[in-house]
Amino acid sequence: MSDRMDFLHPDYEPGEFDQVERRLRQALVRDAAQVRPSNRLDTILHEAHELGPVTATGGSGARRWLMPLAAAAAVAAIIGGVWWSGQDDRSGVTPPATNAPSLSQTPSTAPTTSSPTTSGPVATESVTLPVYFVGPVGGADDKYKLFREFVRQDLPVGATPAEKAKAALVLAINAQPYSNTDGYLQPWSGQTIGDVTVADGAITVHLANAGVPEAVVGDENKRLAVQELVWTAQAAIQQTLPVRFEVSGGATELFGSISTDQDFTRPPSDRLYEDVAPIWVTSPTRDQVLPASKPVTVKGLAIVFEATVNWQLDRGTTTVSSGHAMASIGAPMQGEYSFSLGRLAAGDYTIRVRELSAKDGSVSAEKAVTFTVK
Amino acid sequence: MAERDRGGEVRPSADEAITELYAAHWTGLVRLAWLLLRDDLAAEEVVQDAFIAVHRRWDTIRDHQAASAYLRRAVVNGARSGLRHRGVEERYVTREQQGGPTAYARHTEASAEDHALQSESTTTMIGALGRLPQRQREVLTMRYYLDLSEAEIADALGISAGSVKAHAHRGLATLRDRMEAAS
Repeated sequence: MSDRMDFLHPDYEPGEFDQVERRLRQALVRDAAQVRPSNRLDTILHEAHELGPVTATGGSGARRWLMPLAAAAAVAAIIGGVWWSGQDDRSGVTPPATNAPSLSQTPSTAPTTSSPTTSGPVATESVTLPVYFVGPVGGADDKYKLFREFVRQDLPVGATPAEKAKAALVLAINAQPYSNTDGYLQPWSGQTIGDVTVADGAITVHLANAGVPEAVVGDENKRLAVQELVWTAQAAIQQTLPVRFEVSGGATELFGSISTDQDFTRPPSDRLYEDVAPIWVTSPTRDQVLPASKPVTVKGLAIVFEATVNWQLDRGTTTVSSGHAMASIGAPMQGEYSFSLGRLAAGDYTIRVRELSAKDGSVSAEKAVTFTVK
Repeated sequence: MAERDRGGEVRPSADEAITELYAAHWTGLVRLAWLLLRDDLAAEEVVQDAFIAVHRRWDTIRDHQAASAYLRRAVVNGARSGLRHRGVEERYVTREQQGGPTAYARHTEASAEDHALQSESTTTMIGALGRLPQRQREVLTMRYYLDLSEAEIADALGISAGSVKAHAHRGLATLRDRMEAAS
């Protein structure tokens, strides 16, 4: 039954389509009811912040519509999870500085914990911060690289980039919540993040100590421990500004071997593999509970040979299914992949996404994520 | 910062606005996109992008009603360009699959399973809807799934109210004929 006269076409006979309309409405409602959208609010807020507001002069939105679907064009979006595409979108449109007007207003001596100049109690809002950790690549050779986690955190409304960076760094030096589930290293235990300032085109991070050399095995892991802070700080302020470290007490070497007398940054997009683990799984998230009514889709980012990832779905000790999928681009670039596991019976599962060695087919990288279907 | 007006007046930040809009519209819009696209992942991506776009333009959009209209336009456009790209993607996948089965066939896999769970009449109706021209399908889906008014549909699709009427009429007429033929 049509309840809206404005919708009636002059050619309609009264009641002509009542039956069709009712059945169509019912069919659409039933059909759509099986779609249970996953929760993407955090991702939306995160990506919107990383891309930054669209200025009156710069319309960078048009390209974004195509990205998730135009795999080949999505390369820019893939690097660091859309973060870099924000850089691309902005270049030539808006000078980066205008995206962060507060940067130059942050005196380098101001403690980053100072509250914004609001009257009355400071309102907080929940924001999602990308935080990087050093974790096992998952191959036979016991290598470590960086993994990204999205962590929710309450910050004062209108927190400055420096305040966001400090909050993210505080999270980054505490890998303890992930050490049992994901084997992330805890190179910074005992560390305290001091002031974080964003000024003069650089991010300066004050550390309470230089890091304990014995806490991290090997030069490469020490380097990655520093890089996790670099990636985290840059992601929080949404700019690839160089990162500098200053240690209380005047120490000049982090972990006793890495000079603080240098600018740190992330590698360029064709050398991300130096820092970033070959396989990231972004969805499902760790211990996520998914509805049994809907097919499960696995998504992630991969820097893998010939853009191929292999996967295996385990339930307890039983392998339920396995297969392979293509990332949008192969190494040395980081590509996006996704594949469907179909509908799964209720239960606890582990999805393992792997890169197989081109040489002998052995597992050279693997990321496992547990999730529940019910 | 976007949270603060030039006059110093505090108004809802983009984050707050998007959080409210998300609560009100996320599920409905993903389902709308899915009805148009028939792809779980692509539907979520399209709607996610629409929300991100509104967030990034919150300074100029500023109110919920305008934002809702913007979201609908963005989702319909996103779904349409998604359909265009799918042709390309599926050809690519076919090529990839010549070496053996891959886990890539998510469009067909999902829909095959979906169909098994649906009543026959729903399946028949949805099938008939799927064979309508794109515009008619869009108009009918927005009308009978989201209960949008003619003016709202016209705005979302960027066409005149008269065209909305005409598409709806033609679409319904075709559906009626097909339902009669099927029964």
